Amino acid sequence: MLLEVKQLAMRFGGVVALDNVSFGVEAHKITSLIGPNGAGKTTLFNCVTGFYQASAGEIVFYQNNQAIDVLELLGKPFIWQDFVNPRQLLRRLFFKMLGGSHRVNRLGIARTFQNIRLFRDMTAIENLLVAQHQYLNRNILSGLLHSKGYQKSEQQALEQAYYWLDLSGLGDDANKLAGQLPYGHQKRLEIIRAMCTQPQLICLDEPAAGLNPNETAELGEFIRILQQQHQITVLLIEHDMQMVMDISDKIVVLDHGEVIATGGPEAIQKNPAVLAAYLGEETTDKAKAETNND
Amino acid sequence: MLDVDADFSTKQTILDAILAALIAWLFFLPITGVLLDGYAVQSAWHQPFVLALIVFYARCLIAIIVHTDLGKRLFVGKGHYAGVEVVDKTNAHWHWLLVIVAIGFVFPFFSSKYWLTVAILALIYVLLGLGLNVVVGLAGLLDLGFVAFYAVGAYSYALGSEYLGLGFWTALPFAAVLAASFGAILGFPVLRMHGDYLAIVTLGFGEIIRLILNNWTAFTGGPNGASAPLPTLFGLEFSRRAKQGGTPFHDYFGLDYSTIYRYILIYLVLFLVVCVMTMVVVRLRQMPIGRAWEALREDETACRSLGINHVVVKLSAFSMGAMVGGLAGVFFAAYQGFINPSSFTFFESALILAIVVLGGLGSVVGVIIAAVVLTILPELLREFSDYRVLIFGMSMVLMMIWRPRGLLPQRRQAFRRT
Repeated sequence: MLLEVKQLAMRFGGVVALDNVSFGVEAHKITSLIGPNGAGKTTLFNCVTGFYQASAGEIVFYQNNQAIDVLELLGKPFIWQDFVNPRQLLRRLFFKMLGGSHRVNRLGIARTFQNIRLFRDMTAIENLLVAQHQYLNRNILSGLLHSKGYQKSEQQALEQAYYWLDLSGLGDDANKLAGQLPYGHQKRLEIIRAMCTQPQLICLDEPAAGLNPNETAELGEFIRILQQQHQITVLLIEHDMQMVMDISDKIVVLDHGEVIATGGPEAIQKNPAVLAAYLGEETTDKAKAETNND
Repeated sequence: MLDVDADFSTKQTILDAILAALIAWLFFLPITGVLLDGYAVQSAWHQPFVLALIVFYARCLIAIIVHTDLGKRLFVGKGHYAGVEVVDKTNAHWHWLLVIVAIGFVFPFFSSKYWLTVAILALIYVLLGLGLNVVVGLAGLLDLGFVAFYAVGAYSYALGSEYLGLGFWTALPFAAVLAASFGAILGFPVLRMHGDYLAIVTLGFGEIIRLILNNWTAFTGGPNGASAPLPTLFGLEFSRRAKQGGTPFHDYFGLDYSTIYRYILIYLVLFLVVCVMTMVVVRLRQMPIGRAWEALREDETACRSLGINHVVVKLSAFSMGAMVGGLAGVFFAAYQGFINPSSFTFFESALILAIVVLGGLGSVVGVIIAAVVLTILPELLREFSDYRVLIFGMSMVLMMIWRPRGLLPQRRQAFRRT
């Protein structure tokens, strides 16, 4: 298990977007998150990647046999026990001051966005260099003086960037402005930009949206390569069922902010609760009870 | 309106022109149509007609020009003009650069005092433009109160010498550090703000600094200002008579006394600082921190998703910009010898912002050219001083039509495989 979401809830005022959501993401597997529009998939993504502060529940990331509380990195509100435990108070203060979603990324959880968020006026390769920010020599003086160490670090970053560009077939676009690339290329560039942060888990929010069937198939192939050759764990939101069923090892179905089914592709395809949610049939209490027992 | 893509139509052109002439006639009727003659009012009905006729012909002319090849390039250009170009790093221009730097260093020895002071002012604005360019052009944080850091720099020299006995040379790093910390102080409360809101808060910050300087009479001297000492060179003073046993510069070298020596010194130091700062800003742009600034301008959310701490990036941009602004302030104080809060009004902030926007957000060379043009042009136009602001405004409007992204396009370095 790489990531575990336990009893997660997210409320916006009175609107309950997520309620008691629990599931696990296995390491080096592709887990898909599906559900009808408005089911809370993107909200869940934003919680996992630290863009929303979940209202209740836990998100645990396992790294080197250590369980790390993702929500703590965002700076949780104070509780009364803090004031009798100075160490805990300091820890909380530290994350309140310096925490945030960037820490979730440094932990090893990278993401892409539903609507592409590239640095449009920068070249493709600069997008990838920005993503490697934390691994570069950021000393101002050695940068201004072009020291050996700085040049080496820039060189390595460039090689890394070209490696990913070639792997995704964007080698010729390296020095073009990201905003002027074709849509499909922008989608791929965003994925490899996330990969440049050297994550363990990559969360892809509808990577195939707006792609034609050919491009979708290529993208599925590319995600497979990431998982198999680069030992990456993938968490995927997708509406293209063909692709989801083809590449997923495990599927989690959300509806109205709740998990209604979990399982492999075949099991999900036959699951009555899923069919009901997608096709609008009357959901019998029996079907719901069955899936929850799985 | 001007419809560039449509075909030329005589009927449409004449209708448009008549409409424009009608508006012009109505507009000029109360302005030039009545003349005050003592206590009586005379009508001068023909004047608005003449003006309306001029507008009519001008409107027809524009409609025709737009459809010629030249006009198409001028007016339609912005559609094809991306404003950003990717170029390979070349050293083709380095000898031109050397020539310019050499001319810059020899210039004060052949210049008259008047042009020397103009050049100093121009360089001060170059420095300010470079500083604001980091904040607005690179990091995309619209700062309307940049003059605050300029004021902090200037006052830290004037008050530093008054209370702490700081000289010109110690004031330079002192002001830089102080202004940078003020930049960080401003940065903290505005971390969560974007665009318009950020602009308003920074505008407020600029006014707060000016009002403090104006009203804290006991410390800053209030509207009476504070005097800044003349700079010294290795202990040699630039006044006619040296204080307390020092040696005046002209005595030491056996020259006649002239005030031009002090301006030459300020100019040379300032020119050196501008050269260094230009190099620093150019290098910073290619460094991880500069790329992070630009990424922040493009998309803050994406930055956070890539593990970049936007707090640190924003604060560093504010501090860096403020530091350069503070340095400019020291030179301003040394050059004027006296400062008061009326030098640091909002108009100054707007002027610096205009320099950055005209030069092209993020383009270092463009900002330098814009700063030099915008300070030297008013001097050349002294005879037309009534129309100065008018010409200024018109050039802004024209720039926005032809070159909405600045005088020079932004250049991005290409990265080739090795």
